[in-house]
Amino acid sequence: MSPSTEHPVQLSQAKAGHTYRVYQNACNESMSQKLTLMGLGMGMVIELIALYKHGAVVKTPFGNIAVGSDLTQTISVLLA
Amino acid sequence: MTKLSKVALIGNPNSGKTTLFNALAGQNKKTGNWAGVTVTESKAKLIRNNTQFTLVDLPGIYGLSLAELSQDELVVKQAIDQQDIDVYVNVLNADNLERGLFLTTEVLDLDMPTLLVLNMDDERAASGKTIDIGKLQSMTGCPVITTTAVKLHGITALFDAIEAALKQADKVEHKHSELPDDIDLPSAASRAEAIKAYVKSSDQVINESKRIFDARFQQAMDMAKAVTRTAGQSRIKGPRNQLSRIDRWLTSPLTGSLAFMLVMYLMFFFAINVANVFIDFFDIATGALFIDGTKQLLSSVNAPNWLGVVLGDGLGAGIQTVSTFIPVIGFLFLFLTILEESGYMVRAAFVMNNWLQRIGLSGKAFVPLIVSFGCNVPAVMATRQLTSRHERIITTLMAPFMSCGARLSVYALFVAAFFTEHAALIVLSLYLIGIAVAIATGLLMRKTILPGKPDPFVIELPKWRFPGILYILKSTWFKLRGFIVDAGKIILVIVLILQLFSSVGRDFTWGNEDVDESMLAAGSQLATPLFAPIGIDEDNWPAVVGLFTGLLAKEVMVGSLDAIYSKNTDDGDATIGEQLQEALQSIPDNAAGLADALIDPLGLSLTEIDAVENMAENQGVSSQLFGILQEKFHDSWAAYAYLLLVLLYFPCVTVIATIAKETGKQWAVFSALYSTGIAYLIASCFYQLVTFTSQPLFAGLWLSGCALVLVIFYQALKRHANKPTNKSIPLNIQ
Repeated sequence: MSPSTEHPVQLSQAKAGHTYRVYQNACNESMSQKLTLMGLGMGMVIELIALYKHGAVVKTPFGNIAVGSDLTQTISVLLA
Repeated sequence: MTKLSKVALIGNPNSGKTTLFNALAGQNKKTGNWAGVTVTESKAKLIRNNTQFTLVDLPGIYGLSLAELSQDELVVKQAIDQQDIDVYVNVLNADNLERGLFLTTEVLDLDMPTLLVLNMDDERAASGKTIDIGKLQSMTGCPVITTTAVKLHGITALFDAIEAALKQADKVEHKHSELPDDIDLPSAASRAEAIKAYVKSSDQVINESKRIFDARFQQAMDMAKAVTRTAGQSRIKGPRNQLSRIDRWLTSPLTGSLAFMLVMYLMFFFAINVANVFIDFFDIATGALFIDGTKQLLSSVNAPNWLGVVLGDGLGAGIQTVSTFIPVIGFLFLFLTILEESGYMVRAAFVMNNWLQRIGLSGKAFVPLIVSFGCNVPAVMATRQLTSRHERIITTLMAPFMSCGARLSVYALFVAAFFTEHAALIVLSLYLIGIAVAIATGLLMRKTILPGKPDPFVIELPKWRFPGILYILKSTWFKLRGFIVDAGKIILVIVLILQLFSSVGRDFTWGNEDVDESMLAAGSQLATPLFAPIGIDEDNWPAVVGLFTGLLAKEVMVGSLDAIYSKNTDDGDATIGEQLQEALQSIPDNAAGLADALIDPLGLSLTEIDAVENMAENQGVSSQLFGILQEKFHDSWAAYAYLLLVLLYFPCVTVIATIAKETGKQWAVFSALYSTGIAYLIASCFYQLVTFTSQPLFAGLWLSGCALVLVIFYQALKRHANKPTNKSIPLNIQ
């Protein structure tokens, strides 16, 4: 399914160069809080700079971060 | 005695706390342009005007109330829980206030005098942002100071603010965090304690924690929005945009891996080849000054012979051993400092993350393992970058199996004597076996005593920074000095003990160095039968002496094997002046071969087969040694088994001392025993397997026995892991 403003997709299936809103993450509470403090909290607007098999580089409101493939599969996003 | 006031630096990872600590304390603690450089607390006693205080640099932390904290974050919590900090200096990245202010709301609730430091103010200015300091002061109730620690800007103002805060340490007038109105906090010593008690007594702990977290986060966002304004054009737009294009190259699997290989190549080139230009200088010069010089001095004052052995051959040889590491370690530290300070390490770790996750490690473990090819010592130290305790120990246990540069000199000697037709292949096979054993070790530890999955990989991608060559050189020098002092102390003692054993004869007389009458040789002869399954016959006891001296440093092995097999003695006629001249001359001589090394950073060409005399000269050994080796090791299988042992056994005293310093004595002992045991098993099984037909019964029994030992060892590790008391062997935190 391609990303839209209504249908969330996993970050690993999003398209680089687009802007998204974090919809959900399936991590535990602790990791979820950490992700929020790194700019990947729910509702935050992010830009997917680059997406690879091994992870993604994401521009968040707090700066650029790199996330591994384990996390790109647990975070879902909506097109912003 | 009055208690010294304590001032603690607290803030997010990579907000520049350690750089600020160094600027305030005039120290040079390790810094780096990425999150997680500082994993332990550092302290310094400062005196300014009439105020004395202890400054504490705490590891970075995103939030004190997060449900799970990593090992370095726990250090922060423990420091706060001790309740002996008088003033908190909350360090924030001025260019990224939003992220830092969450922690600020938590620090304010500790009800202790707090200063806010907006560090990296130069980057804030360069990105075109302005911060309303007055507004931030009124919103938090704390004094706010702007600094650029790396340029020492704002340090005096910060000192003044700390002094003022210490003088009014009993007064706390700052604001608290804004919590939801319906939260009724119980009375407690501090607001933080009250919040903790409220959450604990709540029926819905998780929900209440989340509500408080969300409220704090919202307050931090609102505060950042209220005080920050982006005005005009960013001055860094052009160059930073170009750098982000570099990021695209460096983080993609193909170009990122190629770039990583190039960087590793350059690191090898510097740490092995460029460093090699200076090793002879240090070796000869320190030998002349500290061994020959000491002995001559003692002789001139008619000091007893044993004093010459202790101070010259023992202490002097220890200093010589340490000194030969200086160029290798120095260049590695220089290179690593550049990589760390620039921000490249994060990019490399990200690219390698996927591969290492397959053996239960995160991408951050890749750097120490690669550094091991140069020297295991800085590799063990580089594991400090790993924040997970188990990952750090696993990487420390894996690192010694990555074949270091020093072992190469031993391979070169044996390859020249036994494997003339497949020299490079043999050396390459040893490197690959080392890697395979390292990976197997990682898997074994993960499945037994050091279980767990690698943490999900999420890391800040810091902006590229180039702090300047002087900062880099200064930082490298302080790291090198730390190595020389810390590891050197342990090395000197062990060298001294080994030297004593090699000097004392069977009849307890002195002066038996390098001859078969020494206690060391006697011990080796006794131990030789143990190595029979590896193909070392009884009359080949010098090979065992080589293993003993290899405990000191692997490069020592070649010299000791040459001395004992060939019965050569050093040219003792050269005066100290002549030796120093020779040391100086070695630099241009070695530098002449540097161009060749550009295409051979691992030095594999050392193993190319040349005329025997030339090879002997290149390796500084006598030409008859090759023949003697062929005679003593009755076949090339035995020689290869010996090389396997050299590759895998006890790395060297410096590495073990560093492991003890970094992870604790019990892990150092485990590493020494484990590596030696594995080396013995692999080398002996290899030899028994390839010579199976010559004595099939013994070989069969031996191989079965080894398999049984491995199974027992695995089961023992599993059982040990399952004991609750053994689930957390403490990591040595200093």
